[in-house]
Amino acid sequence: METLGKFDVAVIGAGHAGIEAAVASARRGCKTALFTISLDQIGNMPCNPAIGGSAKGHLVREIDALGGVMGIAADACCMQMRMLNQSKGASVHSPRAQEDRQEYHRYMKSLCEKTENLFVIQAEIADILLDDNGAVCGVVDAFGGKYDCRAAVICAGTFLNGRVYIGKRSRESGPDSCLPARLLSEALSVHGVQLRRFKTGTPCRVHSRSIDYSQLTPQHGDVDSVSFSFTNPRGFVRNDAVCYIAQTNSETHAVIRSNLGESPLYGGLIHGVGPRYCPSIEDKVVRFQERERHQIFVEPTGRFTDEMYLGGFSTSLPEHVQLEMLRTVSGFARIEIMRPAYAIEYDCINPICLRHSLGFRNIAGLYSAGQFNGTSGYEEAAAQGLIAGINASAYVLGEEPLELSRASSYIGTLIDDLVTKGTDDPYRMMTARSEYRLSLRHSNADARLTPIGRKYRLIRDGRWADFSRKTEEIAQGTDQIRRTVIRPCEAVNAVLESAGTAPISQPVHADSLLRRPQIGWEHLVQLGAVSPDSDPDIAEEITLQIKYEQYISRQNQQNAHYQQLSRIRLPETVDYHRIHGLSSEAVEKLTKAKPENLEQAARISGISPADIAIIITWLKAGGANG
Amino acid sequence: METVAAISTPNAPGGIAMIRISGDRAIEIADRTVQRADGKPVTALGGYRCAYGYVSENGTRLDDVIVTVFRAPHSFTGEDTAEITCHGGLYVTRQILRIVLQNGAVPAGPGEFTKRAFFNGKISLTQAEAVMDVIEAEGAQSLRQANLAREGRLGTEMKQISDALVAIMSALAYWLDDAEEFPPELETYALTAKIEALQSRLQALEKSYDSGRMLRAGIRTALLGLPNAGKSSVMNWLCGEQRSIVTEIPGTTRDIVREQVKIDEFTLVLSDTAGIRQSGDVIEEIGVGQAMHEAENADLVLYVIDAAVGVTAQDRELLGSLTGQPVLVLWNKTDLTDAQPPALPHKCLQIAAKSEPSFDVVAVALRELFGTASRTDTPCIMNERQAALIRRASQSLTDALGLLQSDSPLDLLLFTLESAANALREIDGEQVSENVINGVFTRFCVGK
Repeated sequence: METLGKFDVAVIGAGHAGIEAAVASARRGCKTALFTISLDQIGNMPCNPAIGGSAKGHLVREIDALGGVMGIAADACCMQMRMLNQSKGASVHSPRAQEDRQEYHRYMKSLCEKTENLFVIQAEIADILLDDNGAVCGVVDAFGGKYDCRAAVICAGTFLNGRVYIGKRSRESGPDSCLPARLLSEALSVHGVQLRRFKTGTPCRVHSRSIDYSQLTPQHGDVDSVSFSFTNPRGFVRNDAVCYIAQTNSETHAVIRSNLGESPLYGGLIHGVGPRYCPSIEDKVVRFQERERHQIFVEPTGRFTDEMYLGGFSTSLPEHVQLEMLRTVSGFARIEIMRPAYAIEYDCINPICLRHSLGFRNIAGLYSAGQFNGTSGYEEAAAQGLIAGINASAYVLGEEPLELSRASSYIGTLIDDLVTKGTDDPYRMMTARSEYRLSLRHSNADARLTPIGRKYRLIRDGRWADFSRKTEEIAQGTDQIRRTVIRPCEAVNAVLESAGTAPISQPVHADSLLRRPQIGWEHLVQLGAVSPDSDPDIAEEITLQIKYEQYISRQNQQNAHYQQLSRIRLPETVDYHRIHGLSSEAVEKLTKAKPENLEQAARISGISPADIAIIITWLKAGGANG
Repeated sequence: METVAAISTPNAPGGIAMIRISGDRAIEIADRTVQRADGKPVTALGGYRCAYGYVSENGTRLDDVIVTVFRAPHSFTGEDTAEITCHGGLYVTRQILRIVLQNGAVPAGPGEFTKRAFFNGKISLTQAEAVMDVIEAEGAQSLRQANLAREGRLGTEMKQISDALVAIMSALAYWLDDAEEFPPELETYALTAKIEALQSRLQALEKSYDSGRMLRAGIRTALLGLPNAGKSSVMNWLCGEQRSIVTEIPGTTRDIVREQVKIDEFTLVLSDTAGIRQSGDVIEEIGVGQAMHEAENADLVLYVIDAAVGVTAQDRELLGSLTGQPVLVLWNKTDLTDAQPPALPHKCLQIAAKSEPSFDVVAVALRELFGTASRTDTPCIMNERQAALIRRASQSLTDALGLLQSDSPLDLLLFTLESAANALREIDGEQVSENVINGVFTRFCVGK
């Protein structure tokens, strides 16, 4: 075989996971190759033209805080920014941006091209080479070209043995009519990697001129919008695009019901497991029969195209049925489909075979991220890509791997869920998945993760100085509020009463007033406790820290037990059958999950504190050695 | 780390018992639990120092205790530790533990103290091995207990309540996840009603702890009556042997004699108290005080009246002062007189303790009084740990109702419900969060 290049790290796939992995690896000083089947698909968004959303917005902020690139790109290519869940509590506030997908692709392609140490190469990777010790030593492309490398990161997305379905017809294909990756799956199987089939779907794109917008409800961006990246100020992003909401009706549902036989899913052609959170419209109609209507989100896909994306309307019914059902929707009577909706089935792994570093347990130097790991969503993919890229480069450089704890971030929670529990359907992040939810706000992602990004050399000096200054200002501001005493007087009580809360009769500290649900920063300004021209981001952080602190301390206390357990490692060789006293349910679950430490063991559903006590006993009695 | 507490002496009656509290707040919690006799705070004690004091509840002294303080890292666990040594009655010891838990400690899990000692580097592997057997036994025991609880009525009730909480949490999680439609079940009034209903079920469980304890540990029964009414012969009758000294001299029985007797399905823990009589004798005064104290803390009072003497003014006064618990009047010595009892506000059984052949009348009366507790329809809380978990869940629901009332953000509400559900599922280790997420997907139409 001809050797075409020598690299430290090879990243296979240039989607949202691959980009983060490659850029992080290169920036950390590893000579990195980024392979893609098509250079014209780098950073493609084959599904919704949006980044962020509930819990996903948290992920993007965390990626940015660690020094990843998704946040900066999403800010640059934003068309509309909204903060979701505004009324539901600060910990679940989540930014979401409508993106210009062509611009996003161009931005990411250029970013990769301009990154030092990074080499973008169009090639389909067909095999991964292992040395005599079973460690990665190279990759081979579909035409036999060989590239030496010491670590590889698989970010294959939905390309692996991809098969696209529209109605009962199907063909081998990657997303957006790309070539699928037909060769790598077999090579992985030879290396002992077990693959399975997942499926996902995407709705159709329609021509803007065919929509009667007067029948739809418009949805605008926020006036004072945040940015994803902590390096960009408020109001930085463009925010002029309008989205619209349409509704299905009983007529639409009737069309769907009478055509269910045409669906490859209901017809039994697709065996891949689809995402529970993102059901097709036929699933929604079948499962939630009592619902009279479902929303369709009509979203622009770019500034220089008339293609509109129909969120909430993914389907694998045939094209003629798609057209028929869409035309029943008010405002869509003359709808023109430009790209039909399709379902795609692809190979992926059960991530339980990975470590927290996202490295394979059984192959040194092999890492993976994104949909290949059983997740779904650009943000979930990018989050894993960043960690896999950091750890592949750490492996090459002989550094400690980065394993984020559940307490630190949604990224840590995502990876912990994946590698300890595995997943039975494409995994999407949700705020409900984190028991540290109250302290994992999108707005404090920098405080949580930027020091870690700095340690892994992904945060440059200027940004680090800005971050340190912000941290200091928050600490000082919080301290000042705690020390400020408010004395009862008419003016003070007038402010309190106008806010709808009880007046005071004794002097109180300003922080105790701020803990009242009705009191916000603006009231402290009126009370003269804080300066009227504070930076709004800093003011918000201080407010939230004080308002949430008692709940966060309870949250942490409840979870402290787990943190302690996390310090006790479980050897991979543990034979749970030999631990006297464990229930057979526990033995079975632990054998399957292979937890790395006792915290992971304790989190497995059905493993009781008593089971954990028995394992501790056994470990300390030297069970693991004998 | 949370501060934990447990009874560290064997779970059986003994001369003394010890409750160990370990964790950052241990000494503060001991201070809230124990009033030192010298009036100084427990927190003023240095390491390895002890002090004499009392544990009281609602103004009533439960026991005299010695509290010993160990300052981190110089303790068994390596954490701040306080040990409360009290008199060995199981009931009193558990009462004190309950107060310690109310004051902020959480019940220690199996082997928890040893676990902490190990984490804090206080014991080596070899030392740990020595205590392993104990922990293993505890672990296995609580596992069995958990399995029992899981299948039992208590487990079912706790699961039902936590499932109802999970349903609410799923709706909340759905709504917090940028949902299309506001679930009507999250309207404040609907939520309040639901949480209040669950709260009252938890409170019923809390109350059942007492009847559960009665089943397990027996019905604490005080034998009361004027001197020479025949209490000791009643005691002997019930116990079937010469346990108390039966004599004609009033005031012979001064110390409290305890005995367990089984009457059909009931276990009575009998205490024969000194005959109640105003007396100039100082020693006997103490005995009388003890008798009244015993009666106040009992689950049942057997009040003995000599049928030949009849109901005296003193009897009426004493019976009138017993308001907290069921009273059975034993109209004794019917073998010696035909006198019929007058109307009394309590159930009255006619017996002849010295010659009565069977306990049937007593059993029938007990069944009337405690029948519901023994053939229970309310699930019973088995142990202090379960009781504490239920109290914790109940407290979290109180917090949740407070948040609803003050219009606080929903993420905080979800957190308090989560705390409650986690407490209820702690025994079987079921992961609440997974159930919540499954609930979101099965009950709501999510996704775009």
